[in-house]
Amino acid sequence: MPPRLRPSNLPSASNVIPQSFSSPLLPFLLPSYHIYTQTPSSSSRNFSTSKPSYRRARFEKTPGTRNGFIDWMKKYGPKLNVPSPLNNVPVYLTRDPPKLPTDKQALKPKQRKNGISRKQAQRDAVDWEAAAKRSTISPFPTNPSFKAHPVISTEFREQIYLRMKADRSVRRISAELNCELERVAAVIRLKEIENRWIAENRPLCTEMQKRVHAMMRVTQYTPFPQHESITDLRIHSATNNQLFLAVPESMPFNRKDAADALGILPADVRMPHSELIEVERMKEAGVEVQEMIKVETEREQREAEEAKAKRERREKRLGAGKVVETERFRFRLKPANAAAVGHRYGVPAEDRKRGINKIPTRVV
Amino acid sequence: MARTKIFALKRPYPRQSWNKQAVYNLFRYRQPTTNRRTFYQQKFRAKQETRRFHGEYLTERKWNSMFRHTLRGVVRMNPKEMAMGDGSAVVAGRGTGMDLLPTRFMGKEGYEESVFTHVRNAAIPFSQMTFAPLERRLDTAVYRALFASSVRQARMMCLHGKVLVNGVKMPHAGYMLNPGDMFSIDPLLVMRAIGDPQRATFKQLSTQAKSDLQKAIEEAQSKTKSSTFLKSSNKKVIAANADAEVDTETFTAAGVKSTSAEGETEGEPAKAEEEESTGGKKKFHLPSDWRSYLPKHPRWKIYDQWQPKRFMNLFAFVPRYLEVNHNICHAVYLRHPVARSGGAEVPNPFNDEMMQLAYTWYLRRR
Repeated sequence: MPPRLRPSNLPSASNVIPQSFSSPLLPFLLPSYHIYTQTPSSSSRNFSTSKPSYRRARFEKTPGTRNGFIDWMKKYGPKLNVPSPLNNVPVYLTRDPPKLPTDKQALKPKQRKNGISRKQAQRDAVDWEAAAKRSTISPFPTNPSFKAHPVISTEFREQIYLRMKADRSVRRISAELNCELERVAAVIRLKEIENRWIAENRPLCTEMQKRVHAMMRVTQYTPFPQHESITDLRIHSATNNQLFLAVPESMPFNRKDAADALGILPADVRMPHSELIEVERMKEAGVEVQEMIKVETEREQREAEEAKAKRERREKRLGAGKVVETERFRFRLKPANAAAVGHRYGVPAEDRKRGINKIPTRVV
Repeated sequence: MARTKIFALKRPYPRQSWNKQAVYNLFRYRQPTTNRRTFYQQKFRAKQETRRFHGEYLTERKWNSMFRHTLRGVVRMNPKEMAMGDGSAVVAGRGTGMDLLPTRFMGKEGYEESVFTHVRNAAIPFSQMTFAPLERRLDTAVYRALFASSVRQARMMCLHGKVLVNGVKMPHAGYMLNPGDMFSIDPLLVMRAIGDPQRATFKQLSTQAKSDLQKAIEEAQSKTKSSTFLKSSNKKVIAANADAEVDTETFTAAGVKSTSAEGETEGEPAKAEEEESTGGKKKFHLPSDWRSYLPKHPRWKIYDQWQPKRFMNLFAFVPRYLEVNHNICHAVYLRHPVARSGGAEVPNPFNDEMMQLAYTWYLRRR
């Protein structure tokens, strides 16, 4: 059976020209190939309801192709395209978007106070906390195991920067504000650049920042913010393999023993913010707060000294050889072992070949 | 050669783009069934589907060289729990640890403080990390930081030398970011890339803008070579307009938003010379070719009236391994993406089973 025609929603001449419009010129106004319009026909096929096949096949409306896309854009486009979602409730791709939990009672005209517009009343009637909870946090409907994590607000960034200015260490800021160590360091770096731009009178994209943050979940700054886990222990590849170890039944086998058996550092050391374990122990033992602060400050000082010593050692090591500065290069001459076979000139790099492009591996 | 027609409607594939057709394709995308398929067929299909989404512009050989069978994961540690015990309880009893607290005791009085009250965590979706090496690529990171509306656009930005890594131009889209690398793009470029296309033309000038422009033109003409320089770049007009640059309110005043009473229409530029402002009684002597001195795109307008691109909200999320500042269009790659209990950090529309199949495909002969 040949495909049947379906009524169209497309803006065709039949939609543009009202039904009541009748003119002897109508057949000339319409394009001759147009099939959606019922034109008075004087052919011998007056009683036939179907159209000639050569006209039918060309304009068949197939779901999934162009026409289906246009229909979808009409139906779902306005629902899915929400350029400024309200109250940081993100709108992600879903087959059927969840409706906002609205208090129906509050919407009644009698309840509405004077001076509040209908639109404002509608917004006020929405329970935004419930809406934020109900809103989908997975941007891809086909994969529930990817969830969008909130970002930190601009005020939160400011707070991190202020704490840095108040001479607090990155580690301490991270523990106080529940942000990863790397994130705190990065926020400070970015904030420095931002301040430099302000000093240089360079315009900032504050409007874009505002609009982008309005589209996603944002962790606002509170006295004790819960942004993310700061004690995520990276799974060591040595722990992926099985290891059989005979242990006496009566011997306690703890984290340290396990680490020794695997040949890695114990989790208490490898974990970021390992000092929190000591803090918890002190809390358990009932140590006074002043005492705890004193211990922590001492530890911070010790760490800072260690880091400084390490840096100095590194600089000393790097500057050990003779340095010859030319216009283009800085040669660091080191004593080389030329006696071993194949060690004299090293190996020619592949990227010197024709057609192989050299992508740097690091930018300092 | 990379495929150019990537948003085909007849055979929909999910792509990393905010294109309206890509959204439509993602909306109606259904993952292939594994019914009546051999294991090989399942793996091959999974590999096909996932590769169409992840780095479809890379050749298979290129991706194969990037693939790593080791997948990164993290476990959340509880410092309180670690302070209370040395971990020997996990292997106590017969070696498999003490029994978890039976359900009937959960939340009961006297059992709250127990170490063993925690419930079993959800599994770590390691298979979702199959394409994690691609997240290290500069172009993908630019897209993830919401600086471009598709990975291909991000790639184009890189190749055109618009992306800086640690302040150095990096024209390689395949540069693998290291933890701590900072990348940045010109804000104007980002605002155009992820913003609504601004089709409104520059029609009218307000009094403020006119005086600014006159100042700028006079300054330009007073110098020897800067006249042509002014025409070629937008910067000079803005530079003369330094006060407006800082203050956003002055910005809008100097911008296109002018009242109909003042300012001239597009058709009659010569009138600008006779134009007299209503308030200040000031006469402007703009040359007849004043239009050529204007920037092609009114720069200041986009800073104040930026609108997001269509469907941007569907993709508005930043993965945890990035820290982005849209004020200055800089972002930092904090660390490599990891999987943790209950979620992985690689944005991905495919479920765990499908990714497991794809991972198994690439594991062959390894």
